[in-house]
Amino acid sequence: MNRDGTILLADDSEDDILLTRIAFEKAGMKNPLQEVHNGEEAIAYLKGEPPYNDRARFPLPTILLMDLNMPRKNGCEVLLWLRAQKGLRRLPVVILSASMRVEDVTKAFDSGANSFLLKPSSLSELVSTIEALGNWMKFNYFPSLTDDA
Amino acid sequence: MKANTNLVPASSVMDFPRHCLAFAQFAPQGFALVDGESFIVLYVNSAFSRLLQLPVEELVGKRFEELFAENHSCAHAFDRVHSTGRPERHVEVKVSGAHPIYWSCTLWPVGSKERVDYVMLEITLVDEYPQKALELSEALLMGSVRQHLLVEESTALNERLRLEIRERKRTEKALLESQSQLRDLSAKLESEVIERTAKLNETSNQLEAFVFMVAHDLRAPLRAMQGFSTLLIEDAGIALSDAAKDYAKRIVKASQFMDDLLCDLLAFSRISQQQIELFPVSLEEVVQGVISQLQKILEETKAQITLPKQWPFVLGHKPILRQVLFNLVSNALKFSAPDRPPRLVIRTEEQAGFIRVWVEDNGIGIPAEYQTEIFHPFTRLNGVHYEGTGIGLSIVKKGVERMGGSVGVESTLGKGSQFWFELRKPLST
Repeated sequence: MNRDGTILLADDSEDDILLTRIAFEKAGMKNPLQEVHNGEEAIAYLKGEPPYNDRARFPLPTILLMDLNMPRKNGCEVLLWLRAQKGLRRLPVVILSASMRVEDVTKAFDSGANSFLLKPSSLSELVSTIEALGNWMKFNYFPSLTDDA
Repeated sequence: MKANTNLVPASSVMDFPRHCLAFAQFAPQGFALVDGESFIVLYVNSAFSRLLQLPVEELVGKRFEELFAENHSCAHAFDRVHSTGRPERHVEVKVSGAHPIYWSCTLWPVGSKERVDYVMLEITLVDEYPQKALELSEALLMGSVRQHLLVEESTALNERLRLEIRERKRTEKALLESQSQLRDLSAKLESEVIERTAKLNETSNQLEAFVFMVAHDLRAPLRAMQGFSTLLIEDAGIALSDAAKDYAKRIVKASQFMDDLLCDLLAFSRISQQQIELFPVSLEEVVQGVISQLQKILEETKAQITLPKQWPFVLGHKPILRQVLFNLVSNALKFSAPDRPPRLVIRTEEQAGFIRVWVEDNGIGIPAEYQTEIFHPFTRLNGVHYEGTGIGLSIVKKGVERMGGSVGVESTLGKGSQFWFELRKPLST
């Protein structure tokens, strides 16, 4: 796992995913992006279940950038599942949500989120947010997922 | 000495010791000695003769029964004493003239156990006794009459008491019943209040959740509109005509405004509904936070802010207080006059347990007739030149009210506005 690794985007909004991809591009980030559109797909991807069983095509991500409000298991449910999985539980998860509710922030961190970023309404702010994420990734030390010592 | 004058002929009284009779001679009581065999009166003393109002000579030598009228109780008593040998005493009445005379008569045997030789008779005047008895019996009579009256009275009283007790018991029962009814009623009321409060809370929570869902879900397509119209201008700008670019810019602006509206609506609904607890809050900390948040605009507008040297604490809720001050300060910057840089003064006053915070500007001011209206939601006075959602001051008002305070404004059109809000001063910090 490294800072240039794959980033898995989990968001039910196709528009937001496209805008996020554009923001990554404008922020000059080269990380490969994979996308899933609800909580169940996110879990299937992380488990490597079909159609995500080819790890060459769908590698384990360096970070999971996830929306909170999604159909078929929301972000918190995915987090709770993830934190109980051997070989996955240390995966850094960054929440990217439009919710400004204190309760949602609290619940996300209680469920095991590592960061909570507010989805801004303008593209320029989204670019700034992704740049900040890129800067953080530059300096962050990523944990090993598999070594369970 | 007339020692022997009271005696019968010596032969009859021979056996009785004479000196014994001498004891009785001058006694105030009347004494008589009667022979046990012949019933002849052998001896009487002078008191006896006086009492019977007969001379001694007419008494001594007569048979005892001759002394008294027929069937006189004394005669009967004599018979009984003679035959039983047991003494007797009883009260006699002897009528004589106008006044009755009472005497008590005591008889006792003289002799041996087997044989009564003599019977001794003693008579005492008991004038006081009957009077006393009469008085006593009168008193007794009166007493019994009184007792009777008392009994009647107490019976009546008892009856009244019984009725009163019954009435009282009835009242008590009614009281207990109404008390229990009241208890039931208040319990019912209480449970209804609890139920309704719970329902209200639920509704309020649902409403809050709904508003959030609406605002959240509305903001999602807005992000797309804003994002992609921005991309149109930035990335496809060369390919677009000036008119098309202008349209895209209008979409960006409109969606930005809609986003501001949604954010303010969210803030307003949040402030109206959120459960808050008040704590002492450092005004300085909040104001400094707001200033650093607005640093960019402050620099752009070349604004000057004068702050107080001494900062009080207020009783408030930090996030809401921050929102209130943010809105007031950003309004003061926003509604500045075009010909002069904004000059802001933030100052505090303490009065009667309250802290009044002033946010004063040298901006365009507010016409007097609108100074109340501006605190209502969606009131906008300067649509064309000054952008705004018209919710900012509603948030200020609602927020201050939620913290138990009040707001107001003083303003001169063209000179500037002085907004103020008052919050309680904490008892201790």
